[in-house]
Amino acid sequence: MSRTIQYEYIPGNLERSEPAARTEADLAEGGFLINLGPQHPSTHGVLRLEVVLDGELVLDVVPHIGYLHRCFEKHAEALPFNQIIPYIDRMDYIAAMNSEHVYAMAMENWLGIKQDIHPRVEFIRILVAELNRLASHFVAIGTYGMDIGAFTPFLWLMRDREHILRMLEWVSGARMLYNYIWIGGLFYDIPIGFEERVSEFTAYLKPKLSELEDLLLNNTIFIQRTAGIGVIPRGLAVNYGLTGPMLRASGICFDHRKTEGYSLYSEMDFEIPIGKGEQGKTGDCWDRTYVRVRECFESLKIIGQCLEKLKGPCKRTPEFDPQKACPKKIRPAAGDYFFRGETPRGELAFFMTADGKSDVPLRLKARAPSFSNLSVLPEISKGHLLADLIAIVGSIDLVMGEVDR
Amino acid sequence: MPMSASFPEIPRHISFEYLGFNALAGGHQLRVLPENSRELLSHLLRDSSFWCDYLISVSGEHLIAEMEKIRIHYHMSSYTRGIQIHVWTEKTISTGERTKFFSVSDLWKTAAWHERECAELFGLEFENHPNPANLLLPNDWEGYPLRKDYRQQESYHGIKLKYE
Repeated sequence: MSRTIQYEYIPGNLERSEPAARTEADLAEGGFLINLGPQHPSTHGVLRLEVVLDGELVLDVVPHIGYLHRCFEKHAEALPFNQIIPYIDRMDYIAAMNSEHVYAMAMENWLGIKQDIHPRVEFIRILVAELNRLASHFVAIGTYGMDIGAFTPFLWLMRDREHILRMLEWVSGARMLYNYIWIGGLFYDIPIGFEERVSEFTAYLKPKLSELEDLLLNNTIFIQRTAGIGVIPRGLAVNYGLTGPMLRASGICFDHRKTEGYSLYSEMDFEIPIGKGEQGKTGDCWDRTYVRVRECFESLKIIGQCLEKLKGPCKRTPEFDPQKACPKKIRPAAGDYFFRGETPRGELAFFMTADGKSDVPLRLKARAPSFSNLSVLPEISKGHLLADLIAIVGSIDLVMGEVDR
Repeated sequence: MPMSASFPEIPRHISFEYLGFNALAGGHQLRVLPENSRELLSHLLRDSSFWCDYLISVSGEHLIAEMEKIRIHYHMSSYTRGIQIHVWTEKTISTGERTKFFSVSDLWKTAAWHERECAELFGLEFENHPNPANLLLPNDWEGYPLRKDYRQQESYHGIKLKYE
């Protein structure tokens, strides 16, 4: 039995769909207002965009966030420092290793046990973090291609990401939320044969990435959809606090891994790719995708160097204990503390305070990169077409778990 | 670029307290009264010896030792000068209305969202903010969750919230 579905216009609907920044009175003659999301595949999570349109022209965008607000900062105030790590995972769930790495380093700096960390521990951390950076960029590039009509790169990249996830599962036992990097060490040493499998994988991945460049970046349709769209000039990018590939695409060569040289990244040889406006203007959607693809190549370089260290000077030995430097009781000195680190999406910073008497932080603020990156959206999407808005949202590479925390 | 430990001079008429350099706590430590905060922050952004063009975060803090006070931390750094600064200001919580601070969202646009988040979680009001609506919480949420004396509401729109 078939039933026709009727859509009727109920005048009160707009007022009931709280919270809305715009009302019908704000709309121009012939203009209309649509809600993009929160359940829309191209918003990459539960993001709601209130879009004011004139025909197909975007007049204004109001992002509504908070659908995934899980009170991370409040919750952290009730947890000992080492038990916060699983919740750090759940912030940026696409690149959990990177966030863990930043948090573990922050705590080690604060406790003053940085020099006790075995170099092998640090190289393993860099290895898994860079693997996760690859996986994260694969999601970003793949879903971005799919957003604007290229389906093949998505399938290819998900295929390659699967290899990475299986390796990380082998290391930590989990596919997404690892809790592998601990304060002062690691959960386990890497399993026997892991180095060989990673080097096999990097050899496999290099030609695939070059293929991806041909398939996506140099694709005429892709260039036409992304070049010159959502241009973020340098000054605007800095003023809005953008970080990561968003900032580098605007032509600013800044990466914490290089500038601060934290962890053992100072021993690694890699480049920081920046956007040059090859297809359109510097800081457009194409540049952002380009920077991400180039970063994948740089991550492969770092992984190769890590493997050399792990097979050579920092070889596996029976005496090696990855949990040797893990403090039994984590009670940092009283005072404020601030640490900045680089994740695939940009700068993750932790601001923490402790009173020196309890094992829990008094305040833990996570400065998430996606949060600031998203705030620029209304500024850059005005005057574009609705279809281009999708291209712009995709190029920001949002993870809503991190925006809402 | 390593953090610079030398602190450039600030004109006399801007009043603040310099608490030294601490690499672990976000660079140079500056304490300022709330009424002078805007003048100092705008100097840090515009003066050529600072050029703190990147505001990393604005975070609130409810002090547990002095429960009547709210502290606001500004962390900023400069891409060109290699300087990193942590400015903080504190104010007694005003009863009956939201505690007022100056907004810096016209200096750094990124501050707009950070301040909205702070305002709803700590019960603050940033004066001259372009859009003071709630960001993360629903508009009808009761209380300010990140305050130390926060008590969760019993139910929200008929949904039971408290489980013992």
